[in-house]
Amino acid sequence: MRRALVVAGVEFRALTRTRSFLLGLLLPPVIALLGGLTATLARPAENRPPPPLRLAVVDHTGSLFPALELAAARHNESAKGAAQRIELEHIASLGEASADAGGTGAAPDLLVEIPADAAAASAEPVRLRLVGRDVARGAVTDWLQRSLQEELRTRALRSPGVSAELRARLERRVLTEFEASAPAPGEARAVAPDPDSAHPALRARIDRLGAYRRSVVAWPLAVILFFAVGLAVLPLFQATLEEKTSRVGEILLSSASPLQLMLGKLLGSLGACGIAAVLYAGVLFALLILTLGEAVPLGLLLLFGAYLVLAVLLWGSIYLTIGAACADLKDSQNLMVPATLLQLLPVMVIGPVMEQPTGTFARVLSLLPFSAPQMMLLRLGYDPAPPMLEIALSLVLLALTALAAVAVAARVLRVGLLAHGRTASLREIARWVRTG
Amino acid sequence: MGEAVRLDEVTVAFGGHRAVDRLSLAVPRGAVQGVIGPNGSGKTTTMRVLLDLVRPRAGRVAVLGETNLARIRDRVGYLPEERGLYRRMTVRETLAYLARLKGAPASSLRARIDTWLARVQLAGHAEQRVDTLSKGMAQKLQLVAALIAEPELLILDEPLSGLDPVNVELVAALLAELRAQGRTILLSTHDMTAAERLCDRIAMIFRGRLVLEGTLDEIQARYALGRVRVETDAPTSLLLELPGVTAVHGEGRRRDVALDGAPEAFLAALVARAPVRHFEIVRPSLHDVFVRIAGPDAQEATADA
Repeated sequence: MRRALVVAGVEFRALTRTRSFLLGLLLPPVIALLGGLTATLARPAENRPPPPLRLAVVDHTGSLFPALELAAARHNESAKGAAQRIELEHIASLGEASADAGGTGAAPDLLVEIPADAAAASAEPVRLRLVGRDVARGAVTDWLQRSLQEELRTRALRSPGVSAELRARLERRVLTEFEASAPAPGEARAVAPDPDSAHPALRARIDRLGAYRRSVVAWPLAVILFFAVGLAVLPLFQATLEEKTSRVGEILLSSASPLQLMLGKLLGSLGACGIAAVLYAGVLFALLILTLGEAVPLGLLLLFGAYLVLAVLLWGSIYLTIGAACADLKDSQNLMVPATLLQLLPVMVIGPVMEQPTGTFARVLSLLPFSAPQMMLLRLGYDPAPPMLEIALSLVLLALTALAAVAVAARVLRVGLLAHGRTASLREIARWVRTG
Repeated sequence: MGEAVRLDEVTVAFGGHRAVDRLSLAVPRGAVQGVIGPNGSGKTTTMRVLLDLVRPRAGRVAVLGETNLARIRDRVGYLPEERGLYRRMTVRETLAYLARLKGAPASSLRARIDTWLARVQLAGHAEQRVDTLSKGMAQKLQLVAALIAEPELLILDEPLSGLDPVNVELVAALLAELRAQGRTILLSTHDMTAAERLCDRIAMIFRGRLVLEGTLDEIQARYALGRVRVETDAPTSLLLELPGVTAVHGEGRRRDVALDGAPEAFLAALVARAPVRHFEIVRPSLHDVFVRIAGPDAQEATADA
């Protein structure tokens, strides 16, 4: 272990003292910030809220304008995205303001005249007079009709001639209640037994996070894990390739076993990855605590830590293997391209997973060791949270794959570092693994 | 004293090619053992076997009395033939890293590094980056990297290659000093003169097999040329009449005489016939032996066989 720690110390210093590491440490938050800013600024004009529709109202009844004001307030409160807000102005007569037919200046878009008989107890239609641009009329007519009809209907219902029973019947509300159905007899075998009953303590811990807190933290943690792992493991490839091409590897292998060398390199990489993760997650949690007053969700943090360690072991071993098997940077592309694409898999499938976080596709990807860390953290941000059995299974599969990758890398390192000047074929690598 | 290295019937094969073929060799503790042989004969592979870098297909290996070679990594220093160091590290960082890998105590490391750098005339370069060193400096640094943990056994693959004559002398003196301290040195070289000068024992590997092993005297006796060198006034015709003489080479007073009999009998007969000012038995150089074993004639003979 002493040798592994010596290697780890040197690898850690070599990794963290480079300009690329410092840049890599700072760039993701800056990119995220700039990306968000750019997206906001570049949002298409049609998605921006349109300017409010200005109505000047002449209310000859003297009583209906407050009802319209209330309706406008409700409308504006629920207006989202491209919905147009409504601004009302109470004027005494049409002569007080003239409609801005050209749509310029501060004049109202539409003049609305409510006749004096509108509030009378009558069955005759109320005829509103609208003056202004036709476009404005089209957008507001329906709202005006609904709002005034609602007010007149309410007044009519409250008039002395209407019995309490009739009023109650007319104002009868329709409510909904939801109750989850039990599985049908035929579905009993298809549905897995509730795994959480076997892990009540852990389940309770996860549940305590709450859906809101998970969604705020889990998704950013998945992104942090992706960046931190990438930042720490990619240099392992370059370092190993350099050790091979410069022949330092032979000296190292005469002083430490391939496994000790591997573990040292992975530990050093884990340290660098830890710095990045702690920095990113620290900022995230500080924001969470400062802005939302939320405590750090410990259960999620533990899962994040476990996935981070296993992801570094897995990807670090893969890149070490490639570095030891290749003769130079150019030759390495044949192996680096598929490995990098595999590492980018979570980014490529993030859309479908976010659309259906509990679907089969998302569940498979969150069990697949190459995408499990990000996908499982992502799914933890949605309700219902993944069952504990799935989380445990993904961790076990990832751990087994990472251990296998470490063993393979150690065997390839032993032979590859000594095989100067040539890039191994996949068949040769397989032979090294068998006989290394 | 015992043996520092023992190889018994060791065979290493890469695919169908036998790089080392049933090789047996014993190196006494405290000796400087030279390993010579043509390129691709299996010298480097043999050294890698001793370092547990390559596992033999057959045979038994013991280093410093241990058959589990992982246990003696800290006690063995290695200078590979293909040299390289971390280009961006400083000289001190490089030595500290490799020394600590070998278990050198951290407390005395700084002083130890300074001592060794002074010993190879690199004292002013401790904080310099490796990629700024000259080739000769880098080679000396690599030698120090192999020595810094002060190992019991040193395995040096071509330690003198690429060094200028001044540095060759410096390294030769260093190796003599280490030998005097009782350390065992196993070195491979293509420089036959250096091998004759530095090594107590010499082994030659040819096509993966050990074809020669012994002290220089033993080797020279075994490969004696049957030739003497004399300085005499006797004419060549007289020399040809003496017992055992098959040929006379050279002109003037000093000539080489080929014999198929005992040199003592030839000398007695010559002294009786003419005054002799100089007499020596011509011994084969290591270079001669090497060429006789691995030269084109030998290679053709081996191929025919």
